[in-house]
Amino acid sequence: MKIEAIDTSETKEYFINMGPQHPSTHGVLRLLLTLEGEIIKNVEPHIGYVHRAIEKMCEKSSFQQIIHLTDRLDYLSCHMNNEAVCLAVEQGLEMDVPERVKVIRTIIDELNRISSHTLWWGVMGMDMGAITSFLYGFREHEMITEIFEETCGARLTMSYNVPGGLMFDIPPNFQKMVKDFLFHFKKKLPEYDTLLSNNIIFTERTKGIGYLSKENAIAFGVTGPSARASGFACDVRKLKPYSAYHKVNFKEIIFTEGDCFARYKARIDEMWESVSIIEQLIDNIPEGDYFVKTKAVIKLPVGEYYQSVESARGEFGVYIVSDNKKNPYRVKFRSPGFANLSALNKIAQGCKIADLVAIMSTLDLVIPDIDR
Amino acid sequence: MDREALKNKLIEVFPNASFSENKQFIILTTTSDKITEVVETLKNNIDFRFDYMFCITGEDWLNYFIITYHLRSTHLGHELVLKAKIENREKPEIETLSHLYSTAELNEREIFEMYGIHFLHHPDLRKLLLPDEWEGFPMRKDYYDPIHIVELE
Repeated sequence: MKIEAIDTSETKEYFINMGPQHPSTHGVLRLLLTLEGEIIKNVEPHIGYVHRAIEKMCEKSSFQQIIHLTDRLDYLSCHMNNEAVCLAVEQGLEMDVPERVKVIRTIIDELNRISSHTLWWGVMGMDMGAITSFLYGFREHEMITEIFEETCGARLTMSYNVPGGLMFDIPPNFQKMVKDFLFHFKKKLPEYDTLLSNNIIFTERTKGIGYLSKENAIAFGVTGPSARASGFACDVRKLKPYSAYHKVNFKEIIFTEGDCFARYKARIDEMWESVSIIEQLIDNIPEGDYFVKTKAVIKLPVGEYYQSVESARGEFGVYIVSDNKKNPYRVKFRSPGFANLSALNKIAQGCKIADLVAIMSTLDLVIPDIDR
Repeated sequence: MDREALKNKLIEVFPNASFSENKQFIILTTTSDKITEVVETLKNNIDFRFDYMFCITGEDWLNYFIITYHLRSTHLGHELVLKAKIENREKPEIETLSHLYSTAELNEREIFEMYGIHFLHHPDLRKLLLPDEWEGFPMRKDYYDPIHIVELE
């Protein structure tokens, strides 16, 4: 038998599949990588494994039902998603909700943002090879989940918002629970820095890796902390304040480095800002009703309504086209994850496979949000 | 630029386009064959500078299709809704905008598979979310699928 000699001097591009069952893709995302050696030449995302036709389902659903579908998009910022639909419907009905509702919605928004970011932080550490952070991140995440459970009965997919207000009033011990959590969290957040932010192994793997320029961030529509780390001021809470955000003082976290570490740091700093927002509001929840009565069948006037909110991943938009029926004519969800994913190819080109894990972690992709 | 000034400027630059307004946005409607020209002006004109396209939506209105583009200028802070009307339902076609806005590439692929609208000169027009062997365009209003769609009423 003749064995053919292999020419080792020649390098060839080859393909490799990452996912759909890869732990660091955080869900069923398949990436088709074109590699030369270990260097990534091209990343082609294949998505749609959890496509549930939510936009099509919305066309058959009433406005109250749509809210429950938006929980299933980005399940880690479910309250913001619910709020976007409610605000769009309220905008169509020209309804003004009570101050109490606005403040409670804002507090829960920020709690939800912290819970999403703590979970992201834990998982990010685990992607980088540190199991400890996963356990620590989930500890704080769990505390917020318990507050949610006490408030509305659900831990993850809350559906606490309804058009016109909230489903229930907050429990009497809500303020105490939130304050206890903040007291605990403010002591623990510096630990996050000790564990990861100042860890030499971690910083070596994230600093200068996965650069996204401001121009590219805008062109690809990247939003949220991922874009603000590239210097793109896109915080919807600042640009178009909704609920009670015009009442509070907070900083829009902007970094200009645009690398993985900047994206990481933007989220850590955002948690401090969220803590500050909650502290400003928690003692000032106005008395009053927790909802405005709406008709059982909501019909929006003919027209189109766009409402965006700042979810934990970026600008989440709801675009409703109404023809004055009980179901919307067309609903489109502008999901932040979808836009953030589209920039992945640009960011990852020239990086190594191990860096791709860091890049995906810092983009904080949630797959059901992308697939819709 | 404030809303009135923007509106006047738009009318000056696009005298033939039709305008409408709602509480939030100025809506500019154009035909599908002029889309590239219009968007290039909106992006490059020093008074508009719409550099950020944050939402692209396909809509089926039974006799025609509409593609809605939500645009924002990160420099000047104003927003605009641009609608492109595609009259030909049998063979819907429109020029791609992926060379102007990178975000359009994936969004256009989604509209292509959901509505069957062809984006001319798109670099990679394939199905995105649906399986490759999927037949029909599910987001169209006349789409009929007795297996996957259960009518509730």
